[in-house]
Amino acid sequence: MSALEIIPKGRHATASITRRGALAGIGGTVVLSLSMFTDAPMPMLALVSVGGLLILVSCLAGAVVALFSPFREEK
Amino acid sequence: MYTVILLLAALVVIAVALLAGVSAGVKPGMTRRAFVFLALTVLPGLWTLGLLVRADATMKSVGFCLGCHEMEPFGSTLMASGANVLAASHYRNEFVDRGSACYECHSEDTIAGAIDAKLTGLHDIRVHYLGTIPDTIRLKEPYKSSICLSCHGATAVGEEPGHPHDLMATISAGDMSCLDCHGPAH
Repeated sequence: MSALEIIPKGRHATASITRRGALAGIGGTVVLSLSMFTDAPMPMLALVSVGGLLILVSCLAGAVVALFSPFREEK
Repeated sequence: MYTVILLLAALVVIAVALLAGVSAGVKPGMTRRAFVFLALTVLPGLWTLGLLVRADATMKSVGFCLGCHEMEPFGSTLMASGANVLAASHYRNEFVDRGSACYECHSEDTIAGAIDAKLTGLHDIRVHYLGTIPDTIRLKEPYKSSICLSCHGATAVGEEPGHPHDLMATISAGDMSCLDCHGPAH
């Protein structure tokens, strides 16, 4: 499935990565924000871990677009 | 206050990321790539660092430590009466920051000490949720006198009336600790 490709091929790769990165960034920000409202150890650690991973995906997406865009099929 | 600032900054991060996502179809020129990098990498990254500072402070709080029920007996000793309970005397007299009393006395005042405290906390959380909580909870190693000395000072301790003149040498050699005479802590 094209939705599962890490770096999608085709003329719209940049747009696809950007959207995925934006979704991950928004999701990560929301999840990390929720972690501010709990003092319980496990929920807090779980939220910080999940949110941190999503933010990492967002950061990677932004870096990939900044460094490698436009991709070969888009040129 | 810091929480409010983080929440407001989160709205900005979300808005900028949303803008980047909605306008994803724009041709990737230099300006566009710089904007995407700012929206997806720089802003979320910086905001996350700010949140981790707050999360670190939360994880040092007494409330966080006492979130596990097996810690409640130790937490209750913070409010014990009598000067012979170290935890209580330090807590009641605010010799340590009340908000992070547990962390201040159970971590060395070094980078390695902070890392060790975090790893110990992760271990304790794993045992609490996935393991068997022991009937008697003990420190993983003998309490380090260096933690006492980080506040009380080696010179002051060595010159304290009532202390043997070679006390610091004895403590440094590991032959005794502060708690041998001044304990129990809890």
